[in-house]
Amino acid sequence: MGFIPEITLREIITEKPLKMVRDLVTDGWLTAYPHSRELEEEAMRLILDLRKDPRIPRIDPPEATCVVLARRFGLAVLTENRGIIRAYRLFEDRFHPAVVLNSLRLLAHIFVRGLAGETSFSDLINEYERDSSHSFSLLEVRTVAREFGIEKA
Amino acid sequence: MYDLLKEWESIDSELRELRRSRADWNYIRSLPQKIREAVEVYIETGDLWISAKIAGMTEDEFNEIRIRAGILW
Repeated sequence: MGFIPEITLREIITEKPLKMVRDLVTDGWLTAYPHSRELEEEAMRLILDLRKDPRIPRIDPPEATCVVLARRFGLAVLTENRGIIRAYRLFEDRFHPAVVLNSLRLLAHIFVRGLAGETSFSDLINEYERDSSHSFSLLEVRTVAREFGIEKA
Repeated sequence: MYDLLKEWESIDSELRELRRSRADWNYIRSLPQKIREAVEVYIETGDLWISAKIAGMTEDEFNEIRIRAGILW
């Protein structure tokens, strides 16, 4: 079971993402987590705290809220927000027990566990890029492939 | 640590250059000023949420503009 915070859910209004949310909710994989002042304040504290470090790019409220919930319940956060991804690389202990992944690292996990039908990591990446209209940094793809021991990216 | 920061800087620079060079500037120039400014913020920073808020949109709506503008990074 996964959670989508209300603040993140409010950002979704177009057909394809809404259909995905609908399918995940009706299949029992996803539920909304209600917003509250206390959750918002904790997310803002996280944003301001990490903003003091010049190495960390801007963190947005929806992502910060996801991290706050993931820390509480020991969940994984899937995000493309560079601030969260990099803060996690620098201060993993401050996120514990949450785990933070971007889609590229999630694809690498899926690939190395043999859960993807594709025969190569690059085929899997190409399919994701076509589907999402999002392309990855070639440098980051090479780095992640190395990290996961995928020889031929 | 220095290597990691250099790597992040290289990734940011690679993606910023791709966004600048591959963007459909004719489409971007045809947009209302508020949205055009937001797209330019996105091209420079790659930050979807703040760009969407400048445009007065949700992230999801702004993402559609991003794709139409040919910005895939």
